[in-house]
Amino acid sequence: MKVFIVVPAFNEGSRLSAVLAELSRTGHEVVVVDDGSKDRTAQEAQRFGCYVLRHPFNRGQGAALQTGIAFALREGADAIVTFDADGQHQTSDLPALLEPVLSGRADVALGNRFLNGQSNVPPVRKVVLQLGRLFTWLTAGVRVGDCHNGYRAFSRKGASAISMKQDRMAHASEIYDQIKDAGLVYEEVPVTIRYSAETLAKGQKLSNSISVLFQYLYGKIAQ
Amino acid sequence: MNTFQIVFITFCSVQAALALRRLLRTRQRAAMAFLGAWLAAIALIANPDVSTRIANSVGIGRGVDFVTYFLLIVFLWGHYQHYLRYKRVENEVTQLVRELAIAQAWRPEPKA
Repeated sequence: MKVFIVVPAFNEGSRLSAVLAELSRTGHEVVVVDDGSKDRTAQEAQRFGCYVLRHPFNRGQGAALQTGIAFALREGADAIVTFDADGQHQTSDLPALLEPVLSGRADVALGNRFLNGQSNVPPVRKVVLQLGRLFTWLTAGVRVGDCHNGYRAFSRKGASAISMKQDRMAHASEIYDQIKDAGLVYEEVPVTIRYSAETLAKGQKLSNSISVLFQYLYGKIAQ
Repeated sequence: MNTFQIVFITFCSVQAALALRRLLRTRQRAAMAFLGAWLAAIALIANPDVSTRIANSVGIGRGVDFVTYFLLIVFLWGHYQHYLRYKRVENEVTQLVRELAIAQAWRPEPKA
């Protein structure tokens, strides 16, 4: 089974090395999509022997993920995992995340940071994520426990059915519409998310969620 | 004719002439629409009673209110059309960037 791990990265040079060092030990193919970084993100990725795709300018995380997925499919991937470049995701969760997809039980495996109680999620973030969960249920009709978790695994069929048009962060909501529309079978898998001061500083904030909400709604109007 | 009418009719006439020149050169429908809009503006400024009569016929008291509502709707419609176009171009740019990134992908040495 050919597994590709897609890592979208924007100015992640400093944190990327540790992530890629771990990913290179998994034995899977790693695709780093450098989303128009101004730092040494691409050079770091090359140093670890990953496939490196470069957006000439920044198009957003959704666009970078879709680029990585499209590339992996063309390279003949049987399964594709999306993995954050900032060190929040743990490679130790990878076998459990891939299992439903590789066994053919599900088209998509969705990481859920609330299932094992080991993620140090800040209280404000918890509230935002719960609101996002409610929003996803209302808009897409999909009930998931942790809808904005970027740690996911797709079968070839699952990845082929996904085509993210939301270039920026609203892709995280859009993907559930597509899972529902394509009738994909999904399963939630416990994963641990490690927050640090650094990742919280760069990550999504409460104020951003309003902007993401509008991106999603505007995107729906423009479809 | 008062000062307002002189200033605005002059301005609209210049714009109408430019739209006409563009229409003759390019035969664009947009140029024709702009020409029509500037001519309508000239007609309404020169004859304010016309807008009042139109307003009364559709149940609005003042001509200026009718023009305001009409422009508001036109503005919103135009804004929406521009937004759709902007999103389409954004998607096309992303697709272009994606194909470029994939075509120029850096590949590692094959694993032994």
